[in-house]
Amino acid sequence: MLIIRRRANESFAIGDSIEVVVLEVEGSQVKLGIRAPREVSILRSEVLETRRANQQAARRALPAQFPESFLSTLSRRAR
Amino acid sequence: MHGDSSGRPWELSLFPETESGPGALFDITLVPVLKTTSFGHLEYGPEDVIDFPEGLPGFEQERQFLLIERPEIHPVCLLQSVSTASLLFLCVPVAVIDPAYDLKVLPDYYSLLGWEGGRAVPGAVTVLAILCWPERGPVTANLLGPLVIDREARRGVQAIRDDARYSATTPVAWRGEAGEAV
Repeated sequence: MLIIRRRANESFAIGDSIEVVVLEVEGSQVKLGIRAPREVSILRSEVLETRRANQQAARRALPAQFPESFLSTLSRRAR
Repeated sequence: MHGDSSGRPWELSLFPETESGPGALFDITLVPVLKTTSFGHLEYGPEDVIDFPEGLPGFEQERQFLLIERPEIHPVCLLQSVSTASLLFLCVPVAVIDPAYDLKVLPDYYSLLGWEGGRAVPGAVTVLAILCWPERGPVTANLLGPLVIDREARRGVQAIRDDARYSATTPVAWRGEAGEAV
């Protein structure tokens, strides 16, 4: 992983068309500004992880059957 | 047996009201019917539809879902897309996966839920984790991005956290066929 040290109001570029500006550093939080072409998708990593999880979880139909032990284990916890 | 997924995912049926009051002889009611792959024809009313103003990540065009709860699969419930008959998600209340789950809804999601001005009604909020049920390998639940559904407003979002406290692929422990907790 490339590591760059930057202060507030300093920036760096990714390729020719993307610029990332450090706007503010406060405690453990960093506020970044990103200039990029409209077609570049910018997502929080958590959103990307959830998108992958959703794509894996999407189903065309119910599972043939749920193991009885699965439902009963969950039911016990639902109480 | 299974409804076709390529054709019209839903159709409007005419159901004449047989028990209508006097003078309502020609009164007919439109009952939307969803031809699902899992349940065959599913009748639903506008009160059953939950709006997801931004869809779900990866499924941004899916803006309306039905939440289906059936005793035979309790506590698992299903989020069935209204516009795509062959799209559903298995869900389970987050508390079933983790009784101590600490919900965190970022303010970014308030407007999608219509919660601006403190409109949230805690009792009417359902929090579900989407289950991933793979062909093989462990069943996992997404505790990073739970579905937060305001049942009163019939609106939902996938409220993705901004911390690393929970995983999008949290293994779901259950007593498997091997007879031991997996």
